[in-house]
Amino acid sequence: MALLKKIWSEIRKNKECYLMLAPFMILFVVFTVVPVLMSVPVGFTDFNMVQKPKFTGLSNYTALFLSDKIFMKSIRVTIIFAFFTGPVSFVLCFLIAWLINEMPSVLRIVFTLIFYIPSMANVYSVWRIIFSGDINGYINSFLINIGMITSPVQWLTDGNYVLGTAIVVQLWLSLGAGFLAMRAGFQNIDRSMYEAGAVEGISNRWQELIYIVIPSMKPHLIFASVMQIVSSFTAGTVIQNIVGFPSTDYKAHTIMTHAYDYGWVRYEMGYASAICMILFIAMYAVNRVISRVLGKYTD
Amino acid sequence: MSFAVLSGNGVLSAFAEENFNVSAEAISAMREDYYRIDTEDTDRLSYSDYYDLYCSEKRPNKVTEVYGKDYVSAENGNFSTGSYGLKENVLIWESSGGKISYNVNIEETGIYCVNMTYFPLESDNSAIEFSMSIDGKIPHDTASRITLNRVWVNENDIYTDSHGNQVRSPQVQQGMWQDSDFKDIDGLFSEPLFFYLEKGNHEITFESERAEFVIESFKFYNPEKLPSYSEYKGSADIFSTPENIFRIEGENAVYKSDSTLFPTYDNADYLVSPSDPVKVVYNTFGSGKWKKALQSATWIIKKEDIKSDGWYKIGIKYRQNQMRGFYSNRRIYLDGQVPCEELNQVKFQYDNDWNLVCPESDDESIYIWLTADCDHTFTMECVTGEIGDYLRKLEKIVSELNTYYRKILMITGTSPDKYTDYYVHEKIPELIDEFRRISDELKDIQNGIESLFGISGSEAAIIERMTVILDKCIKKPLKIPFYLSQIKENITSVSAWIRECRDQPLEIDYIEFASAGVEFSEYRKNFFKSLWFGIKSFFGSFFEDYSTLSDVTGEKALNVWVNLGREQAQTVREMTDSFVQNTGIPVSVSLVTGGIVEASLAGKGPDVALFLGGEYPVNLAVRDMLVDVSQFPDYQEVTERFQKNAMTHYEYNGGVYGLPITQTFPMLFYRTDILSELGYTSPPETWEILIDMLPSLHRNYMSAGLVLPSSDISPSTETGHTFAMLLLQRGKNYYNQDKTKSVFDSAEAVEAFEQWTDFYTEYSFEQSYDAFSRFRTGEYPLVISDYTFFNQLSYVAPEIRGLWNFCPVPATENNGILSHAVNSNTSGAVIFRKTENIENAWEFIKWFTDTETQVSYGSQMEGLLGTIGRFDTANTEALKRLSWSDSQLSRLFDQREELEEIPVIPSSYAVTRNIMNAFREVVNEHENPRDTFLWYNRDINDEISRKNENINEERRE
Repeated sequence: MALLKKIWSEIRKNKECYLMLAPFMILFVVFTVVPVLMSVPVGFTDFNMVQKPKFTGLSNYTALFLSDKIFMKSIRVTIIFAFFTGPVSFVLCFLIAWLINEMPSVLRIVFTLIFYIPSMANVYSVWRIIFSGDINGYINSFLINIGMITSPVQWLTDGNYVLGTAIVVQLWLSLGAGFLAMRAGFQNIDRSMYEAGAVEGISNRWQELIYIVIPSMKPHLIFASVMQIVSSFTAGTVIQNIVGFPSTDYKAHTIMTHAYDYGWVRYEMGYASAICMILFIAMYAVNRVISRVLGKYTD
Repeated sequence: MSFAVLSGNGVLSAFAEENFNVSAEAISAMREDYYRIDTEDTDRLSYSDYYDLYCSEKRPNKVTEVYGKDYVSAENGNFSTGSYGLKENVLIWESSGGKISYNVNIEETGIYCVNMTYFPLESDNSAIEFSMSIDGKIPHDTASRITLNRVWVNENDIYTDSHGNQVRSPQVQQGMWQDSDFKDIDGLFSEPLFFYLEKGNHEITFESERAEFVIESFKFYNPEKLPSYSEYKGSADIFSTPENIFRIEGENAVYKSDSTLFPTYDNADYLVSPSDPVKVVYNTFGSGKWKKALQSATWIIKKEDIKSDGWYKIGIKYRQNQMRGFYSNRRIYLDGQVPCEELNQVKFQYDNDWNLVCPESDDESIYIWLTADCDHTFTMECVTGEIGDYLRKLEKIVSELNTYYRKILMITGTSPDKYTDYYVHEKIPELIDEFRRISDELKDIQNGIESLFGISGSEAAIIERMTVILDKCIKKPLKIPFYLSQIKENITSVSAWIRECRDQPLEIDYIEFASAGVEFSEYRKNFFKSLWFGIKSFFGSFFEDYSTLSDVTGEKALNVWVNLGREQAQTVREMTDSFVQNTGIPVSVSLVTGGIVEASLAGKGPDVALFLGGEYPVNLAVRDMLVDVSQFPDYQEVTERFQKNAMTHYEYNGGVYGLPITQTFPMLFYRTDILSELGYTSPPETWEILIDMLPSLHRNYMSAGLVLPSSDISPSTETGHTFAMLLLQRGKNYYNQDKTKSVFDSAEAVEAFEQWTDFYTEYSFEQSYDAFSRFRTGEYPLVISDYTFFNQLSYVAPEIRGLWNFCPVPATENNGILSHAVNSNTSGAVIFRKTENIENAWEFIKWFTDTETQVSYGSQMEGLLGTIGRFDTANTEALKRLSWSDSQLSRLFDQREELEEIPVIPSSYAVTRNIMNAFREVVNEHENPRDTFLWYNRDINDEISRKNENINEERRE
């Protein structure tokens, strides 16, 4: 009781802050926190969305790990996918942000816009033309012209290529929020730090980057990494839109697509919730690890 | 000849049980009839060539009139003579098909126009179309499809519904006597068609598949030259007319030549009369639709408005914002006559905004004489004007270039080798000279068009690009193979340009008539008023409910969701009005695209959903959300309306959970010109013949196109899925009797799978291609595609008109019987279990799928959207009554009779995706087809039993 009172008085004290927070918090709680919490119990049931859920204990989880071959496949796919679109994209974002930061101010704005546009526009149809399996698809026609291939490659349906294609598209798309955060980070660095660095004997740009820029960008880097991890782990729509659903032989089937498959194609929400819970836990764990690593480095 | 034997055999055995000798022969004769490619069709002179040949001939001033009743012979149709429409002794042609001949005595050799006095009978066809032959021969291509307009009127006045929005009336036909010249339907010539006739007796024959009209008479004559404005006006004093100004609103057009010409609206401008910032108000005419040659609209000038006889100038407030740089043309008739030469072609310049045109002669407004003693009609007809001449030259060039493109293609293939010199200019010796000639002609045309419109650059740049490519080819003939793709792209864009340029789009707000000395109303917008109007409409939009279309709301009403576009939903809503009136069942129609499943799961769904297709009906039925319609006593009777297997998509566990509304199925489309060029007299009737044709196609770098599901694999089997087709033709389906197991381990299934993958591995068919453009250029002279491809081709590719046709898909032969079986796609009407009054819902979907409703929906859709919107109804009778010609129908029905359907089961998703997985593994990774297929079949069966168990458990609850 005393605790509650104390919290309440804290809220009263900072009511302006809470007021400002409220619009976002209400939406966030209603549309994110509540569904996530709800999916925890649903994961232990058999639920087809029409009839009442039926409690089945851990059977969804045992089925997932013991008899679902495709889930095992999807873990592998997700890890590969997340490795390329997470760390690789993260580094890429950072480098591009750095490059742009070095440009004169007008060009800086232009390039920021160019690199940010991908995350705003719906570009799947363009990518589908680029990777089209038609002999006249951009990549096919280019490769045939330079003599690399003689017959069109089915980039979107050939099991050997689907994951690669999806990764390329996701890499390009992922230059979004994380990239913007890093751009802001670069601009927030105190000019005097560079001067101090120069006095202390920093002799080239590289040293400047390692010893000044990265440590002073810690919050931005962590934010970007979280965004990157979330987007690469939950990437499902991109894959579905590019290589179709389901992808050939589940070669680009991530955990998220697997959840979609069970939820919306097979109407087995209990099972889908269990999949999502596992994804949630995995993401949380990876986040912790990365924050710790980054934190250690930047401190 | 092998096919004839085959088809003979096949049909013989198929019909063996019935009338052995007679019917088999008759049917095989009919089959052979449409399988044979008529070479005459492809060789016929175009009107453009005919025109060049005869235009310098004399135009005798003689009139030869022939009465409809005086025919020499009539066959295959329902003809009678009698009185009709207040006229005695006329010829009544009541059937849509038929053939009628006349004897005509021409007094003097020369060229003549033809004018016919006719009365359109009410018909399911939107226009009258027939061919005219002289002494048994159709003189030119356009004469094979002479089109006469029917008359369309609004069924009722525009009224306002309970939301305050105006509701447009459907268009209905009206019979009335019409006088019309035979004109060019393709919109290349503004003047009537002419025919060259030598002195003496001729037999004139009209043959039609879309007739249904009354002929009083037709005459061969040459129209008199129109008077010029100064002759028309004479010495009259235009200032003597008392001051008067009045207007007729565009949306009030009374008689229209086409059902697509209905009132339209522009609610973004406060000066359009009348206007409203928020509600729908019909205030314009013709937006987006009034652009094809021969389309005309007639307004009535009321005598009350005219007040006193006098001279009036005409102010037409119009908008032509579609053809940048060009003008649209209209011919103006007053009381059915063009008053003077200047009104024969009135130009409407391009402008982004509303503008006013007042027809002029030498910078002086034209005044017309109106008397106040009677109403007058004011008609505007779409004519092509001067550009037609250039377009027809271009059209010829395009077809020549297409031929050369294909000739080159046959030497080099689509992707020529960089290191080979093909010497195409030596293998086609005339190539360079021809290119040079064409390039010169193109330059002339470009100059002509530019001086005509006073434009330069962008609008005619497409022609210039073509010239540049040709010049490059002329300069470096060895490089021609590398320019090939550019030639192709440019041909496509030039032909698209031709198609667009003949359009004469025009939207009309109102027509004002004013006496001399009176100014027309202001038509230029005031910026601040516009801004205020915009603000009002922006804020108004927050309070408008755009998804509910009906007047009826409330608890009792049957809640119907339409899963289609706004136009379609609006039409459904308008049609339900009559249902509501007749039955007293309140119905509320909403437009909801997608989300029906989610909404229903959340309990917020509709009572009835229309156009719900694919696997959804069964998936919802599995979850016990739909009403089993087979429980109704008249269910059996209702299913008679559909193809006999069409209910399969709605069947689950002994129940039936919906009625089909649309049904599409694939047909084989073929290019007659290319096949006959390659020496074939018929399209392939069986797969064997198709495979035999492949080497010859491949040798010429052509191929055939089969249906392959896109990368998104739907749980229901796509229509025309090649594997399904091959399997069904072998007499097998996907599942065993109780749908608990696939039958893919049978010999037939494995064989079908092998044949399917062979097409891609051995015959190197392409997995993805754009059927439309390949068929159009002729790279794929054979394409299996949904029959609605027909609509697309006839609408968007006029340059290959008459050069293609369609027939049933290739067949597989089993023990002498040919099977053309293939599966279709349907979308249907379903009733949800939560519905309070299930009987009413059943009445509603019964009404919606019945023949009358389907025909009226179909003709309204075609009216709204043109041929491309031709409705793919599932109702057998309704399909017959849409505007397909008899020969097209017989082809369609031959295929439709043989449709077999693949059931949807709860675990269909696993079936379709694993089939594709197996396919891709075989084709892309060269695995053994048999092993791969059986391997994936295990996955399929595992998932079927897992899912069935899961569902049984749920059911037991």
